[in-house]
Amino acid sequence: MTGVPGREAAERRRQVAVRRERVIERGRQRREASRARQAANIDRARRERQVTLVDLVDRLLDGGVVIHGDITLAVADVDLLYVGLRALVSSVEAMEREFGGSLSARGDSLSASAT
Amino acid sequence: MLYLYAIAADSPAATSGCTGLRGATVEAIGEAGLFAAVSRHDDLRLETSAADLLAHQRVVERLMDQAAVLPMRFASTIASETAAVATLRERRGEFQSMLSRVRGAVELAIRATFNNEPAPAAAAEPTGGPGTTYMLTRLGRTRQQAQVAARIHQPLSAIARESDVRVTGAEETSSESRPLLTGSYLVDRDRVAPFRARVAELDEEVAEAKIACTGPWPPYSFTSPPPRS
Repeated sequence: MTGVPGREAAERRRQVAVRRERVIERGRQRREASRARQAANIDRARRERQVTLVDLVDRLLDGGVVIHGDITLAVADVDLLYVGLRALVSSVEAMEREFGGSLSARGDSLSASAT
Repeated sequence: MLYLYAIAADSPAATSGCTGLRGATVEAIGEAGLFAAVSRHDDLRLETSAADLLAHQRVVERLMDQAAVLPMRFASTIASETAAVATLRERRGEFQSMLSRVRGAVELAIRATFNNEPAPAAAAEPTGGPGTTYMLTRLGRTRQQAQVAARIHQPLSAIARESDVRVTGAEETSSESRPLLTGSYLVDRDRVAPFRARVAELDEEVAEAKIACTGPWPPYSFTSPPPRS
């Protein structure tokens, strides 16, 4: 007589343990997926900022109004500008530390669209 | 010495409270309807540092939200206020027609790269030697690139007011993201959202390419005098 409730109790405990394991496993999977998503987002954000920076430098150094004669470019050598550009692009992250991510801080204006 | 950020129509108030290069105050000089945003410097040695480039860009962006602007190229300086005012006066007509070209519009930048190295289009008939085969393969690649670029450019140029695109050379680089099309589009402010939406669609539709869009930028690529018609 006492054996049956004992077995039932053991079975219930086993089922509870199985359910607990499942919950823990799902939690672990969710955390892993979230970490992967986060890593992908950071990676994409970094690529977008690089594209944005290259677009910015292209425009500032190669576009815009140039008036020959009265107005002179204070940086004499364009080749030097581009040497500077390469150094600049390779130091995006250093710059972000300096400017607190201001390249992407202006909302839509300076941020790359997520395409 | 004056550093020039932009030439703008209307609203000199747009510069108020604006900080420029090296923390200098930005002011507007000029006459009704046409002014230059400048800051004064005794000794200005510019670098292509992030700080200087961003200082220039921030001033222009602030202005473009309030008035039609012609951004100056980075590092433009002029000796004195007198010289700047004289230049504005002499070229008033030219600047005003350039301003009306960009008024109400912003610049959006497109950078398309190949997703992966495309298969050589239409395998060359092995009739010639290795040189001929090489040239035919290259020709095929160039043609294929032009076709893919057109599938991206045509729908976008239909939305834009004007465009300035470069189809990047097929022989250029062999890195994993081979450039395909680099373009600037002058887009009416109220068409920026449809333009971006179209870019997102094209990014899906054109399987060969990955398309990035940045902006809105001041119209850096549309500041040459308008083409004579």
